Amino acid sequence: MSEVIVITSGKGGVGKTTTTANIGTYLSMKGFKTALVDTDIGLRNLDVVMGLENRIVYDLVDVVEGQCRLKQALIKDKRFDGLYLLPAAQTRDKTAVNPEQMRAITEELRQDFDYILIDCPAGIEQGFKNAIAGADRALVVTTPEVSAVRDADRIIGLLEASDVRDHMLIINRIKMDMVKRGDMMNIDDIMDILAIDLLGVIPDDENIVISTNKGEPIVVDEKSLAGQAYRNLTQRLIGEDVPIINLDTNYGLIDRLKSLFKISSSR
Amino acid sequence: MLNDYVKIHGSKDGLVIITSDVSDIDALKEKIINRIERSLTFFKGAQLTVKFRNLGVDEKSLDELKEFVLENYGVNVRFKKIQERHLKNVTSENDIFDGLEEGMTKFYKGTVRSGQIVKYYGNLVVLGDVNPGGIVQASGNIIIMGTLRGIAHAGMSGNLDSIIAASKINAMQLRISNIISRSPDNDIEALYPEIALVKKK
Repeated sequence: MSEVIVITSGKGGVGKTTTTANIGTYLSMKGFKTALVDTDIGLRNLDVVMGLENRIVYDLVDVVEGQCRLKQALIKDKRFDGLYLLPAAQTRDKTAVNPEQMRAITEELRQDFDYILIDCPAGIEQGFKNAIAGADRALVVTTPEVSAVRDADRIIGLLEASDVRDHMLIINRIKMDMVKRGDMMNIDDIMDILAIDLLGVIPDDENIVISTNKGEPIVVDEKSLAGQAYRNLTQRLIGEDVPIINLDTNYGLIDRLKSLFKISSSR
Repeated sequence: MLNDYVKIHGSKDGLVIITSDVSDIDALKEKIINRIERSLTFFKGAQLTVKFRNLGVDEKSLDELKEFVLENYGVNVRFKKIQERHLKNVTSENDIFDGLEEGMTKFYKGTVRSGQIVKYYGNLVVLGDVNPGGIVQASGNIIIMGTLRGIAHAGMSGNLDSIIAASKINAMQLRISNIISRSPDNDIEALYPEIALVKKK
C-alpha cells in the first residue's frame, strides 16, 4: 500500500521543501521506499536541499512530455537506501504540466514506492493544483505568523474543496522563548484558528540553514532538536504512537537536551 | 396547474387539504367539492383547512367559495396561503427577506475558511468558526456557533432588523443591510457570546 502525500502551505518560505526533504530522508532511513517529487517547476529547490543538484539529467517535464521514461528521471540518493528524487524543470513554468499528467505520474510511482512526497510550490494557482492532483493526504506547513496562518487556512479550504480531506498541520520555526514573552503566536492560537490535527512542531534552529546549504537533511543529525522533531513527526506520520516533543518548557537548554535524551533513548 | 394532487391529513387545524399552485378559483372550487363529495359523511361538520399557494386568486372569491361550501355541505373551510419562500429554498436576490422570526434557514456545518463564501437568501446558522478572510452572507439573521473572525453580512438584501450572533465575535467587519462596522483597533478578545444589531434605524 503506497501513499501520496503533498506538502503544502500557501505562503512561501515556511519550510515546505525542508520538511519534504527531512520527512523523505527519515522515511527511507526507516526502510520505506520513498520518492520525492518537486513540483515547483521553474523555481526548483528540493534538489539543492537534498544535495542532488549536480545529478539531474531528466526532470518532471521531460517525463510528462515523453522525452524520457519515469525511471530515467528518478535520481537515486546514494546516502540513503530507497530514496529517490524526481526533480522539477528549471527552464519551464507551472503551465508545462497539468493535473491529469501529475495524477498519471503519481499512479506510476505508486507501483514502486511506499511513500511519494510531493513538494508543492507556494501559491494557489496551477502549480498548487498540479501538486495536489494525485494526493491522498496533505501536510500543511505553517509558521507562527499571522500571514502564514491565514494562508494555511485558505489552503485547507482549497484542499477540502478538492476532496483532499485527510490533512494535518506542521508548525515550523517556532521560537519558544518568543512565545513565552508573548511576542509570537503560540500553538494553541494556531490550532484554534485552523482546527485541524497537529502532526508536529519544529523549533527554529540555525542548524537547518547550515544543513540546507550543505545539502544534508537535518534528520540525520542526532544532536539537533529540529532533527529530533522531524524524526518524531515522521514516526507519527506513519502511525507510530510518539508524543509531540514538548518544547514548551521553562527549563534551560541542558534540561531540554536531557528530556530530549529521554525521548530518544526510550525509542 | 402544476400539481393536481390533493393531500389530506389531520392536524390541530382540523382536516387539512394541501394543494399546490392555485391560479383559478373555479379549479380550486372543483377540487374541494370533489374531495368533499367523495366522503361527505366524513367531512360533515368538520373544520377544513385548505393550504395552497396563491397565484392570483382574490380574497372576495375565496370568501364566496367558503360560504358556498358551508351552505351546501356544512363544512367550515379556512384558507391558508403557503408563502412562496416556504416552498422554495431561497428568496430571490433583491427581495427583502421577512422570515427573521420564522423562515428558511440554512445550516452550514464546518469552518468557513479564508477565501470561502457562504451565502444564503434566508437565515444562516454556521456550526463552526468563520476564520479571517472568510465571508458569511445571509438575507436574514446569521448565527455562528463558534468564533466569528471574518466578515458577516446579515440582512444583505436590506433588512435592518436582522442580527448577527456568535459564541465569540472577533470579526474583521460586521455588516447589517447597508451598515458596515469594523472591529476596534485595540485587540480585545471576545470572552462571551454576543449579538450584533442595528440600534438606531
